[in-house]
Amino acid sequence: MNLKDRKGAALIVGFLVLVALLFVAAVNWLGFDPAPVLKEARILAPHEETLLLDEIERASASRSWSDVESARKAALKRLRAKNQAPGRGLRFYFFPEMLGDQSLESDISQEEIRPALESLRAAETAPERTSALNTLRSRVENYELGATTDEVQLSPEASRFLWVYEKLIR
Amino acid sequence: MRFRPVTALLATGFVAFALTACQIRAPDDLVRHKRPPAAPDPELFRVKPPLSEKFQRELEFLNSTRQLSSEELTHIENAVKGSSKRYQVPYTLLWCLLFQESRFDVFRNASQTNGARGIGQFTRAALKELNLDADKFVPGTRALLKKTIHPYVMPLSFTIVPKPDPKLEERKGRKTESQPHSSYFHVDTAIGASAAYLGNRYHQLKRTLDRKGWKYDPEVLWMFASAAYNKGSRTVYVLLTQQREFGGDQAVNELLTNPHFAFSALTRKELLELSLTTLWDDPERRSRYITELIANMKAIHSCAIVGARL
Repeated sequence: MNLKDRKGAALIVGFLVLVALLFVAAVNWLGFDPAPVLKEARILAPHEETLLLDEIERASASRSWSDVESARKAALKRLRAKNQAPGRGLRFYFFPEMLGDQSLESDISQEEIRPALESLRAAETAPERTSALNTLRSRVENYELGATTDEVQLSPEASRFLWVYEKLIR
Repeated sequence: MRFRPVTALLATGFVAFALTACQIRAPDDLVRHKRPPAAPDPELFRVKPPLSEKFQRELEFLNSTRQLSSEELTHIENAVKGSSKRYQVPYTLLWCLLFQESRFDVFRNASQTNGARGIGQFTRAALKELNLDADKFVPGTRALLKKTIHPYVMPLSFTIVPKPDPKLEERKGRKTESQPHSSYFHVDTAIGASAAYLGNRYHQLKRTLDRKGWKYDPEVLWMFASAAYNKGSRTVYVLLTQQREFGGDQAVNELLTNPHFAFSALTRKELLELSLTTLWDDPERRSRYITELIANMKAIHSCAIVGARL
């Protein structure tokens, strides 16, 4: 390599280093931060939760808990087979099986909704059933609305979910 | 001196290197998303409220127009102080939250039969949680309410004497001290119940994060607890879940440890729109919900947090 070629190569390398340094300086200068911007929000496949609630509601007509449980399991199995991956639907907090492990909502489902449903199922007398249903309702309402939001704003799915279980125990 | 490209290149390179090494920043107004300091403010919630000029002016106005006398304010502040100690919630945050909810009007919306009422703007659902599930998040809450307020404080209710007349002003002819102890319109009961409910939101979120093994700063968690008090835990749970899903551990870790990021997440309309699209189909309802949340978070946190340039 002669002197002229070496000079040219050095200039190119120098230019690339300069571009890299200017880029880093620009990023620093403008202070771009990746968080907390969400890249996108994944939207549910249309109303899968409604399909699940349809199945449960149909089964609840027989007034049998075991029928409701079987319908629930069968519907979840079908949805899972269709989706392959665990569901990310944010309305599925009634159905922990459809939530990913890292979803915080699965914790609410496991720790608050499921025990309340179990108490409802185990309740033998009418007052016990009413009390268990009130606890379930209170947990759903406080989870969705907090202290200060009007009750009318409960999501349609939550209202329907509560209505189905209310019908089942009456 | 003759112009030499190599010299010019080296000089420019040196300037670029110096800028990078010194991490010189653009002025704030040029920066769209400011880079926050690495550590959370250690003085979060440890100041005398209200910090914001807006609330200071409003407090003076309420006092000068006799809507809130000095005696009433002292009574309320003492009750807030006592409740914050008992239920272990930050005094400043509780003060600012209650002021934002009702401007310390114990009878706010008292004549309504539905919707949010009283100093902490409680709904029936919130009363129901304390009546049915008081000990779920912090064991002993029910006993503490009975011990510190009145043995017959439970079950809590919206009872009010004399009965409300929609034509009359809600405060007229009523004294908060003469309300039954179980009434949310009794000032000590209302403040105790509100503190317990705020504590419940904190411990609900804390438990979930502990179970999942997510890192958080306990002080920053109170910011999310106040959002959960105001608009339900689900908003916070969905926001954090989505942040982790799309930004990874680092993004959610920053949200839960840095008050600037937490404030940004709770007050940025576009981010909340994306997060809550799956919760509220109706755009009008969603927009109203988000606007209210942002206004509340801005008011509460600028009243309660010092040093964080919110």
